Amino acid sequence: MRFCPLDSMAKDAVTSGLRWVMLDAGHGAGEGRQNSGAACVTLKYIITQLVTLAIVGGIMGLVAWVKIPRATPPLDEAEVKRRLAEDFPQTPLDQIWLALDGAGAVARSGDLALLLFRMGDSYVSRSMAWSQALQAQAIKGRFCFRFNDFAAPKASLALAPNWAKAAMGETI
Amino acid sequence: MAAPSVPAIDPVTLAVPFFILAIVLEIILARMGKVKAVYEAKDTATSLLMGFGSGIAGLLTGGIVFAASVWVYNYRLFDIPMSAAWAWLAIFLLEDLTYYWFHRLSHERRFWWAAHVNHHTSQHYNLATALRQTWTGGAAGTWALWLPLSLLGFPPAMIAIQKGISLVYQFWIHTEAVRRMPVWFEALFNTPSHHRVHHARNPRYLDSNYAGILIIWDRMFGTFVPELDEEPCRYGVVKNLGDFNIFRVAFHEWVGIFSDLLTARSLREAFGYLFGAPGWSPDGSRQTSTMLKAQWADMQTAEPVKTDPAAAS
Ligand SMILES: [Zn+2]
Ligand SMILES: [Zn+2]
Repeated sequence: MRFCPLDSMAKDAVTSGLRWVMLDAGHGAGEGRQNSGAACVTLKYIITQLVTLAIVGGIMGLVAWVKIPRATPPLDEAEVKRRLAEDFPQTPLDQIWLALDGAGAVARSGDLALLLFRMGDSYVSRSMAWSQALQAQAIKGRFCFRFNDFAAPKASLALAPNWAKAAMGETI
Repeated sequence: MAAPSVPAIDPVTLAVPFFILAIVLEIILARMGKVKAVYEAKDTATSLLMGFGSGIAGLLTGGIVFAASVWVYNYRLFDIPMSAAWAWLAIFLLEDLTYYWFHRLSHERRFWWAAHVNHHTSQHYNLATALRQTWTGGAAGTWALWLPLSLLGFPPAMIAIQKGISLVYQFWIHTEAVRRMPVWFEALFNTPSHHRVHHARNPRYLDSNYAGILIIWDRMFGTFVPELDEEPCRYGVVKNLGDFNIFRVAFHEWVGIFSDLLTARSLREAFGYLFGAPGWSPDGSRQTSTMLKAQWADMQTAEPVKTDPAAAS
């Protein structure tokens, strides 16, 4: 079977693409001959990846050792209001329940519960129906709020054990 | 003629030792109080592992991308010599312009945002954040935007090298250690200050500064927003991620698109979920960045002198 010029060009393109992969994987291993070259590339690639992973581990260790994250003092009401105002502008808050460890809070805004929770040295917020928030179950002293959101599936807050009862008392 | 098409140098590979050294230096200088930089252990681990994964993902699609570039090059309109200085100046400008539109598309349309969002998921802004690169960019197909350069007649190797140079340039601008560069530099080039704005989630700063190397494209196409000292950047995305899981970082928007498509009641809705602005919803119950900016602008006109609520109490 004869290649027409188009086939030949496409073949040429694919060959170049493969050589590009080889170059990328083996850093210059594209010069090698087909069979022994392929094994060499694979070995080089694996070694490169292992070295990279070791360096990643080293940097992670360094960061953990030097301890230079943001300060995360326990939240107070003013700080919760400030942070929630950034994420939920023009949303008036009826009341706030602070987590006992100061690492989060639940706020009520009408039919909506606004949740603020710490992640590392930063904070994340989400909202859910107020009625749903009241159903949150406590596990080992922490209330687990589940969101229908793959990006933030849940928040776990160390709220006072009777917070929901107190909240319901407020609203009835 | 396949061999001359393969780049003899890969700027990204050459720059890796410099990346590592620069990150280590930024961490140490920050620890010594010499520069401004904030590092959190899990956040850094996520950024570095995303960079590691991106290398593997790039390897899987890199061959196809390069093959496509070579295939298009076979039908080139002109023969542009790799040895000419004017050709390098031309590829520098044209590649950077292509990057601008690629980046803008990656923010303004959800399908491509899904591939790019991971780069914006850190609430930190440091040199490690620069390595929080995409795993799904190849699958999203934005590389096709560079094919016209091959059609024009730029050798695929030349395009690949220039893409690498751009990526390397964009590494150093991911830092809070540099406040401002000289005025002429800030006017021409993308800088730490301009790119901090790009990574900010403050409504004022959303959807701006898409530049790769030259900031002139943002100035020309109306997307330039300067960093204001009175409004520090808050980094991350509008709805930040709930944990540091790298698979969540890489795929959360794709999962979001998929689950939205399952609820779509018409082709129009499906199209909107796929190619509408991030945050688009049929009933307008979610907020796009345009809506967030408009809401913010309304608030400014309602209360022009904005005080810090924490300080006010
Ligand atoms: Zn971006
Ligand atoms: Zn960036």
